Amino acid sequence: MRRFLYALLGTVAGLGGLIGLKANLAPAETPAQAAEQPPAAEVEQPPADAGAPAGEAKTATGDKATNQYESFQVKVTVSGKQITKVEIAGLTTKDAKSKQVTGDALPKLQKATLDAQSADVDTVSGATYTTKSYQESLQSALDQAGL
Amino acid sequence: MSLTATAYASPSLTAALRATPVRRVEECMGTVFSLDARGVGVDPDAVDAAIRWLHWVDRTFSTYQPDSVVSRLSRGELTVDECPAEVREVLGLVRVASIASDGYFSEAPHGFLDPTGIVKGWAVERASDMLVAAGSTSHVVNGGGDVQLVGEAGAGRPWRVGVAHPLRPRQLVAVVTASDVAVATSGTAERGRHIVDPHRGAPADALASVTVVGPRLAWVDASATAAFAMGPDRGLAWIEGQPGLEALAVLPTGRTRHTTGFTQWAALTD
Repeated sequence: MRRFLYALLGTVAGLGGLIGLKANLAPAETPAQAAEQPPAAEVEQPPADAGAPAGEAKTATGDKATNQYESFQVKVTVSGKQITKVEIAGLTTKDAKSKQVTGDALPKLQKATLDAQSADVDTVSGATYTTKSYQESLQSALDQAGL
Repeated sequence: MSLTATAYASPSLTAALRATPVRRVEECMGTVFSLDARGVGVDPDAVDAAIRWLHWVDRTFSTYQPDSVVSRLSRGELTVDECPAEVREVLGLVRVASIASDGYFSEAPHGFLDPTGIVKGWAVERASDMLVAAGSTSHVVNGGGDVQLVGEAGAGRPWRVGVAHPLRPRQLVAVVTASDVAVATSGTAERGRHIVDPHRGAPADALASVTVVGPRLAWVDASATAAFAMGPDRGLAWIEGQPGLEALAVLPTGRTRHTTGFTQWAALTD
């Protein structure tokens, strides 16, 4: 279960790039760091063993990601094997514009994560990925969750 | 050395007793293969053999390695008869696919012998057969996005295969729900415009992706490549006429089109 949470956080950390990308629409061009943060996670409540009841919700929070415009942590709530909620914890933005841009990106991050989860697929077919682009793929997330 | 599926046709009782669910991820052929055996699973030795088989195929058929059998064949240093039986088999499949697709599946898409368009799907199909021969009744072999499914994902639960949206990273355009089928997708999302329309001599660009569902991956994969080269109108009409095949096409605008029977397998997410 613990490894599963880590895998999901890796996925969410990747999606976190959406926020950095959006923020880059603001004047200066500095690469967003959000997506580069390693998906190290702090699990707030000890993860349950495989035999634990599935309905119990657990929360995990990723490391703080900082770019020029904001800093935040991604917090996911997992119930059984499903992500049920994606939130941004500890968001601080540099100015009102950044706050608005980040706010616009948030629903996309949440939707992308929940879409992938709610589809509940066993495997993914798509144009042949390279070894590198596999790392960013849904199939990679599925493999990590299952390994 | 030549590895064939027949070497695993008689799983021993001890192998069956050691069977267990297995999950493996392996880099090969410039992409990543994912193997997921469920239920009572499969003898781990058979999984290792399937992985070795994929690497043998890579070494033999690679057009990037100058010393590979196919590279030497292409340069005329080997005759077809001097090649391993597997090479002759693949060349036969390439010929059949080329004829069946009016040349849209090309033997030499880039001006030299390149069976790459069929090798990966064929290798995955064979790897899956090796696992079946070793006693597996429920598995997925996914070669870089081309999938052969055997049995069901769980008791009474068919496999669910997400079809990656070619224009929206990490999102799905459809979910195929099925048992014992193959699913292959050709498209520009990962490697750019690499499929050539051999009749125009130019990259095919009228589709973002085409996904084909059918019984066996070698033919399903080759059909997806051919349909992609044909473009949406001709490609979908051609798949419509192929027994056992259905297809979903995503246009560069994001609009989807599919053959009449596709929705028997799949639900579109939009």
